[in-house]
Amino acid sequence: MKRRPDSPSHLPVFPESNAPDCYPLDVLAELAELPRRRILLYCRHGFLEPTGDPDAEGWRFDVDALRRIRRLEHWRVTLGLNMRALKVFAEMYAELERLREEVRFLRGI
Amino acid sequence: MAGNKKKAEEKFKEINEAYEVLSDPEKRRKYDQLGARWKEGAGFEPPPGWRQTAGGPGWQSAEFHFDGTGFSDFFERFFGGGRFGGIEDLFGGADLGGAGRMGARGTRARRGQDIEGDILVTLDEVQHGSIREIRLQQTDPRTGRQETHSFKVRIPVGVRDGQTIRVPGKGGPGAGGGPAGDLFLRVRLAAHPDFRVQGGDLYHDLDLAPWDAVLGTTLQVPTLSGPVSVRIPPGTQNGQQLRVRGRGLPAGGGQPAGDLYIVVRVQVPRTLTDEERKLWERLRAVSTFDPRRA
Repeated sequence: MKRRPDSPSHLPVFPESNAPDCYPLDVLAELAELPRRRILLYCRHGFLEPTGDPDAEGWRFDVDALRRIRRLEHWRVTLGLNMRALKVFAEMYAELERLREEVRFLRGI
Repeated sequence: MAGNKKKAEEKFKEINEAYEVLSDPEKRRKYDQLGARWKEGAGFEPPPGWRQTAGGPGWQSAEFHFDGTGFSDFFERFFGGGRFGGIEDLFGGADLGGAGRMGARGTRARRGQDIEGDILVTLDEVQHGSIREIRLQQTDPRTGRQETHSFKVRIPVGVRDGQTIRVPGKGGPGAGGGPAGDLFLRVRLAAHPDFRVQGGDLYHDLDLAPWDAVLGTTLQVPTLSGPVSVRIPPGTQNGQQLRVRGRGLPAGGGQPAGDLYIVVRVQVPRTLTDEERKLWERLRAVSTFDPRRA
């Protein structure tokens, strides 16, 4: 019998390997569609942190860094926020996420 | 003890209910709408046109719906410069400035929106890893047609709470030939009846009788890979933590696993038989122990 192309065994699996994704600065800049200096600027303002020691291992970032950059850029571009406003926005968003967690905890999940 | 047993049963009932909810998308939706009253069935009916009131037409068009993450779409968020720009639409597409902003809509290839969501992961999945099927239901704003995309997400062994899993190309569709956005799933660890999680370490509360704390004993304690025997040394104090090395959560990348900490809770009997009372009274009379002078 022919299997449907969307049957579970044919579905793509993400990520492909068990190792967590880790991006060098160049790759992160490409994925974020940003110049490298803007990423380093976000690092300098405390929005991002490289994984490990940049002096020993080079500038490397995890997936969460990409997620943060995309979010920051969305706020910066669509709302015209500067760095100080981004900081306030990011702090408020972090608080919102903490409250979501609390709601889930109180609901027992 | 009967009281503790009842408490434990209630705790397990709650956990089982959570897993029951997680395993069924329909139940999950009800739970997220009604909370603990989800089984009562009578759902809240929102007033007609609530979507327009809440978010405007821009939000209505960005309709995504997930199954398989363990949470309803209530907590999912959308970011990025896609066609259904949400806030941009609310502002009527006003150009707010900034690098990378489109001048005119649809004239340039544009990456789709990123979608952020949470995925609920059990400790068993952290221990062994798993592959979960996710179904993303999306409504095309132009045709109103619903499309369902299915794919699998690998839960890596040793994944941590808060870690992000990226699923490239599973966000919103791109515009003008641009690529689709990405889906970012943030791992949330589900509560476990026996363990609390702190980083890679697990904590288990162990109730102990006073004489076992004083004299020491050997007991079976649960771990994620089955029960192990643990020696409780004589003179163990209430609240003392005993470490079982390497029995916490596994770590990815060949790193050592976390540890299991057994937190001792000395329990005192609430009722005594006549014989027990006599023995305790005898102990009080002969003991040299004074906790206020020790």
